[in-house]
Amino acid sequence: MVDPPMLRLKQVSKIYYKGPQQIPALQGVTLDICQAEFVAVMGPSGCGKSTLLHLMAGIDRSTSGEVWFEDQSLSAMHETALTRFRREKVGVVYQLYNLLPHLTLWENVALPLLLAGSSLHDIQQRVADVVKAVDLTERADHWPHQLSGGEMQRAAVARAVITRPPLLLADEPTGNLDSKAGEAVLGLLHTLNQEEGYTVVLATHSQEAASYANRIVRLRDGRILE
Amino acid sequence: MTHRISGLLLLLGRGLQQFPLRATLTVIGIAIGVSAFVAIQLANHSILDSFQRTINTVAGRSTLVVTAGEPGFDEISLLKVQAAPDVEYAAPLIMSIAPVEGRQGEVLLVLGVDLLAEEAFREYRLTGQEEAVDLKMLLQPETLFLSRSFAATHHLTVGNTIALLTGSRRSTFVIRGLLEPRGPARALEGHLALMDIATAQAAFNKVGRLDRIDIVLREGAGIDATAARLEEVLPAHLTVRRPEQRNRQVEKMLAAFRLNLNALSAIALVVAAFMIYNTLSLSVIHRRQQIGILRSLGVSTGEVVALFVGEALVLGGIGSLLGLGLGTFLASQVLETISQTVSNLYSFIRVTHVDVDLFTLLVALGLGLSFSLIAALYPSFQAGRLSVRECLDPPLAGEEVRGSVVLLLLGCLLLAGAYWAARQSPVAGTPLFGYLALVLLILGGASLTPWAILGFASLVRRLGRRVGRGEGLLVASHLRGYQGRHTVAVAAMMTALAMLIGVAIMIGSFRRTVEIWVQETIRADLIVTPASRFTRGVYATLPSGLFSRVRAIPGIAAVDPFTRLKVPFRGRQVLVAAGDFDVVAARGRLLFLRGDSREVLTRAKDHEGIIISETTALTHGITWGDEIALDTPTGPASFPVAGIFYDYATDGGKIIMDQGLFRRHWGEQGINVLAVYLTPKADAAAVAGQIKQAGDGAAIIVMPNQDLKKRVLAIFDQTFAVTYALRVIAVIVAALGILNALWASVLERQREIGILRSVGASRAQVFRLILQEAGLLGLLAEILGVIIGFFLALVLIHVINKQSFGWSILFFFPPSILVTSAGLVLLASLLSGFLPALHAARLNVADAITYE
Repeated sequence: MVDPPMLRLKQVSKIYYKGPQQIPALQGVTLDICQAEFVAVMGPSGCGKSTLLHLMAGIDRSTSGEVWFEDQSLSAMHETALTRFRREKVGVVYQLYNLLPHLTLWENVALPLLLAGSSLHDIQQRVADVVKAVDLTERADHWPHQLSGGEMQRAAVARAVITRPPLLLADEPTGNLDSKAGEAVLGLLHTLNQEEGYTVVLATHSQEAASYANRIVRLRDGRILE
Repeated sequence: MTHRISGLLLLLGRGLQQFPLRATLTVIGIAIGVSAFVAIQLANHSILDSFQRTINTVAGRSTLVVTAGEPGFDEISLLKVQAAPDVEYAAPLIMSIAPVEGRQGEVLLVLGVDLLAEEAFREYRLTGQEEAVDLKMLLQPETLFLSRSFAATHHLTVGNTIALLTGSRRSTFVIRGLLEPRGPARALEGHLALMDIATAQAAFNKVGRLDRIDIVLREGAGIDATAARLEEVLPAHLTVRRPEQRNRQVEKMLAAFRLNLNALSAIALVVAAFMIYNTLSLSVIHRRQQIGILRSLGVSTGEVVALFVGEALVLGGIGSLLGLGLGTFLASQVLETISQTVSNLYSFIRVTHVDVDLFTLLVALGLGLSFSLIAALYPSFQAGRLSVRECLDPPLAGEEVRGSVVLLLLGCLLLAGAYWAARQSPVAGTPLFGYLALVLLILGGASLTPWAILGFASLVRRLGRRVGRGEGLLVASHLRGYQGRHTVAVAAMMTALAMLIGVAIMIGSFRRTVEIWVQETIRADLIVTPASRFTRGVYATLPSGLFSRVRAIPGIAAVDPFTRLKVPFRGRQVLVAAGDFDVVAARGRLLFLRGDSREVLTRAKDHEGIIISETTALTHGITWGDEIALDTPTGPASFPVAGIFYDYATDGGKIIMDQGLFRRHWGEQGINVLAVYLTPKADAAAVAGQIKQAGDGAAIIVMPNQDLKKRVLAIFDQTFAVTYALRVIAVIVAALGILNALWASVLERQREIGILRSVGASRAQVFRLILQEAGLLGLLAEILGVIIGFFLALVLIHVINKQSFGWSILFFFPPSILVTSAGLVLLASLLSGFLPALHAARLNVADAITYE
């Protein structure tokens, strides 16, 4: 028997309103993503990749259609439940790293656990493990401005996986990195997918980055071309 | 060029539109700051103006005025003046303040004039008559003319009677005519009664005596030379001055009082300047990208600076203009309180309307704009210095956060400067260096604020990490990360709090000192005074013979008859008083700077010495053993200083001697107060009743010890009422500053807040985060405010008050001030954090994390 998809989007549309003007970002997107898959969402700038990831991450709501995570509809979730979903089920890596500038690397990585109120002992252990996995142990007490782009992005990956969420979303994670640092981050995502079983959705416009994925979904003008 | 300027103006306007709330808050802050300043200035100005109007209108055409302080002088001197070669006209005058019976708080300035001599000096006009008044109508006994405005207010008209407390008597007069508001009838805002001099002398128990002689000199006569010649022929205790010299005396008398209020009102203005600085700094941060785009399009550094300076001037200008209006309104609100205080402390004054002085308004507008300009300079130049790349690059990793070593050094230097300034002597009797010390203390505290924030943040951070609370850690990181911005808000709040705490400690200490002094020195069981005695400016004596009648009442152990006269001394007015030193030594008590009360008083009596108040000693640089020369009716005399005592009852000097010594030089002057000591078993109420009976219907008050003590403290509290209001204004402006800073930092941190929400922070957590941040900023401001406030209090007590008024105040730290100020600051900061917190919690996460 085939496992049901982990993430399921049914006829999802997202329209932004700017005054009287309607800007459709996604139009009738239907997509299933299974556990432990590594999916690359490809398309040019403005095709709706980020919007799609925001809907999957529960940080935005669709205008119509439904987004299901396992057996829960994100569209129907109350704000509190959605916050818990973000905290426990999903980790996100952004193109601009989005580390908090006034927290050290250690604190940035520990942040989701700190917000969840985990015990200090657990936090220390888990952060040490994750920071070691992304090879940043030496830099743990540094501030973001003291890190290179690649290091910041690896720290962002560490923060994304600190709560062991089943779903890892990466929005153009190599967009601001040189090729070497980019490869390191993609390699990290690949390892997390292959060895730890994370389900990874990677939004990118780079063919090279997409080559790490098992499946490629192409987006254009808010629609799936597949 | 014109297009370029209009382009910049367009950008300026758009900039202000972009953040309407912040612009509004800043304008309100400046308006309140300026209004506090304007209100105090206008009220002070109106009071001084009213004093001078009274002096000038009464002086009329006089070129010289002869006076001898409160008790007046023998009218025989008039003949000497009239006989002087250069004197064209000389008019005798009785001039006294008289409370109006049955009309609480109302008084009249009574002028007793020589009807025949008046024409050359002053002009009066009666209602309904075109010509100058025929003063002969006043020749009938017990009659007076009343100013029309006073009569109208009290529904009095010609033919009605009016009862006045003239010294310890109650005198009733028939109103013979109403005076139009011109000449002296405008004095004390139209509170004038005009009598024939004989009527006035009889009513005020001054038969054979005069309060002053007004002189018009012959044309071509040298004024100063004539004055000097007159002083030679007149008794030594009489002074001959130009009338305008009295104006300067009033200015001198009120100088310290006015300076204190002015300094306090300027604080709100300083706090408002912090707001401008804050707003401009935030504006620069928010418009980085815009600056980048402008610079890349060819806008010069100077134009960017001009843009931000322009923004500050627009905000400062609008705020100042609103402040002028609001201040004028507030002035009318505080006028009564301030004039009441001046009446209690110095001299009776009546001011009914604010004199809106254009010069004051222009100064306030100028100050509002200059403060805005100065506050805007640094952020504006910072904006100009930004490179195009810095402005256009997205903020990825933040910047290094470091405390500025320059500010640290500057802070230490300023504090050292404050210490130095606090130890300097007054300049021309004004504690200029004391005020400088206050300013340096506040600026020093403000310069050290960034370091205080860093230290505080590091403490909270360590605590947050230790207990594993994410929120604490985040709050600390925000405090640290946005230290630059928070510095201004905290410094503004700190300044307001430090002033609040410093002034509260000063007032609290002062009150406590006065309480102790009152407790220690008011020892008599009953105090007997004329009913009109508690109106400043009234010179009233008790009925003659009362002293001996009171002494004979059973149950009374001793009576100290107290006589006081205000006389000129070294260019100022000083109170010369006399009592029975034997009684005071045995039963009363004075607090001396050195020595025991009984021992000093006995020594003073034995050696025919005097005791002087601390204020007299400080003002004139007199010390133990010095000889003081006084002009007395019996000629110049010299007295050795046997002791210096603490005195908080008068702002001005006080010299006391034993009654025997006093009588030898001043003759019998009448008794002003009786301090009555009872036998242990006497019934105070019964004795008081008997004293009233002994008064034989005279208008006297018999006051129990406790009532007098309460009265002294009530006057004290009323004196500081305006100060309380000013402090609250400063805190309101500071709270607006915190709201402004937090609101801006929330707007600026939208992306960070978005990130937090995206990694699992709930709305409630974000809301709490901002509120906690507001609370911690407030707490830090409180801690700094208490520290700086403590030192401000030391300067206020030991330098400013000491040098301004010559009062020694014991330092008391009232713990309640900690609770009150902490409560106030917490409330202010949480209230100002509430809106930004709500806004932060409701942010759309996806919008917030997208950088465009």
